Amino acid sequence: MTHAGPTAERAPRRGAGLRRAWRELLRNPPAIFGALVLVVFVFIALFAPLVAPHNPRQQNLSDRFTPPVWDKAGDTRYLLGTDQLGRDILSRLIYGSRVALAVGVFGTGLALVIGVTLGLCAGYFGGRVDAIVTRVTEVIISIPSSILYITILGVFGPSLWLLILVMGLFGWITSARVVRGEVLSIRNREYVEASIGLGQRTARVLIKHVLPNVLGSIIVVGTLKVASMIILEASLSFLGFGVQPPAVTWGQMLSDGRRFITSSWWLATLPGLAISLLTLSLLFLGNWLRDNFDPRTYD
Amino acid sequence: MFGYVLRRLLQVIPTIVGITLLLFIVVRFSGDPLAIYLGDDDMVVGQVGNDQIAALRARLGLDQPLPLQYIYFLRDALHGDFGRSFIYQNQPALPLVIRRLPATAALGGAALLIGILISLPAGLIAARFRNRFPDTFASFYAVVGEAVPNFWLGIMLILLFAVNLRVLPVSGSGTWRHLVLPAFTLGTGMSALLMRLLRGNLIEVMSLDYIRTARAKGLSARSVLFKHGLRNAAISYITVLGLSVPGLLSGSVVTESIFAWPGMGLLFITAINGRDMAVVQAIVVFTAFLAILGNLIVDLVYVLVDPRITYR
Repeated sequence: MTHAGPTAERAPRRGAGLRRAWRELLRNPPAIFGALVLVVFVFIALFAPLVAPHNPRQQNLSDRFTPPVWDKAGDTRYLLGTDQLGRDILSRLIYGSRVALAVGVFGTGLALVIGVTLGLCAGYFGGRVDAIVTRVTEVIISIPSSILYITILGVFGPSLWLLILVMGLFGWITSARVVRGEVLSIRNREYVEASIGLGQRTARVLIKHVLPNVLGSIIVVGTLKVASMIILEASLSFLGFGVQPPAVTWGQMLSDGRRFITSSWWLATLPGLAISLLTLSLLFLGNWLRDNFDPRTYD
Repeated sequence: MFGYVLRRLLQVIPTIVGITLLLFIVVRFSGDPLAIYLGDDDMVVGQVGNDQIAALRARLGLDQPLPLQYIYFLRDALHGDFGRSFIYQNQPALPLVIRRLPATAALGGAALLIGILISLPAGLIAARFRNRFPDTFASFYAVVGEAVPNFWLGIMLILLFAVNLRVLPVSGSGTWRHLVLPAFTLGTGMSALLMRLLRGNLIEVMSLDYIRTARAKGLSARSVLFKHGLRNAAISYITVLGLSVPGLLSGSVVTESIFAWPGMGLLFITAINGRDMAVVQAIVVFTAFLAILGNLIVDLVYVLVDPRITYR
């Protein structure tokens, strides 16, 4: 140990970490499944106009209620059948993935920016800052989430951007808690004290030395958060408080399909399968990340 | 003990102030409360004279500065006065909400029971056979239970049991058979969460020294698991039961509207769609109050049950 300075704390080289992650991934079948499904969903969401066989809003009243292709009455033009207005289900599912992923990713992004900032400050400064963050957290978790979201969306009128904003503004609790806990455990480590002792500004200490050490937990929390936001978006759209038509959302398809549950099972079944598949893939990935790279975070 | 209880009760005050302030801001920024009060804004406001509007504003306290208006709002809320519903024959809003509590409580209680009945044995078996087949299966169930949206599960249960098998009613209320599907819809997600928690806690507890001691003195595996393991893992399990109140209330909104279950969730959707703001505000504050109460009870039970915790 000739140079026991700050450099000794460096993580191994980046390439080595990625190779290790890749090897670990190949040993975990659910995580492989999750990664593959997620890649497919992201691809079809990005290239929806190229992938979708039909215009998702094109009505063909003569082809209403066509069942999926494996049914006797199926039609090869509509692989997953059509709805009550003769619109192609597969194309609508493909376009629906755009809203789901947009809300999940942007909502989580905003929530993480808020949650990580508050968590860093609460954990690092403690005292009054910590107390205020705790009080605000308590207010938010006391109001049942769907009641809080629906009140705001109902009062201001639902839209995609309001939905993302609201999810970000009220969805940061978990990330703030996890980051706060982690910061508490590393605040008094030597390398943090050393950089304070060197006279570095607080913001620099937080960003350069504290933040990189909580990044693992942030990625885990973020992955799981995307899944829960997708479910929340779907249930809000289902109740009519999500993104409004003409945008196509899975929750809306489910709510339309529910009316025809006795005659056309596929209308309500398929969008739910799409939601479950996407959230399942995110949970598999998130749990795997947690188990392998971040043994300290629970929940 | 008394000091602890008092301090814990005092902590509730800023939370209540925060909740009502948030609600006040949301409602006030959404539009003129007078228009909401008068119902259909254009028509009514056109008929009422300017001096009448001014008089009404004064009577409702809307001519006061906003901070003062909030104080009045808080005062009325603490007295249980949220104004009157204009959908439900001008009745006071809070009693209207409280009348729906038994239905929601029945649904939430049944869901919690289902959550416990699934998660308790599943968590025990998973921890007992860690990393073997039962555990893998239980962990898979936990992930799937979390991934599947409960409103879709509800619709699938309707499709299977009400439409295809015709053994249970599609929706409505009245008999216990109406409660089965909504309770399962709400309870399965709960069970996944509880199972994961119990498994994790049990595994942690079972690796502690006193468990090794218990094994070493020749106790049977079952006795070690139940008497020493479960008892100690149960504390956080019970905590989560108490903390599940907001989650259950949140889930009951969508569950009640799928099954037309006449609880607070269904009332909430009706009220917000009709812009019946008195009822909406009463529901927000009342459900938050229930959540705070659940949290408080857990904290107190916690202290009573666990001798290791001293009340500071």
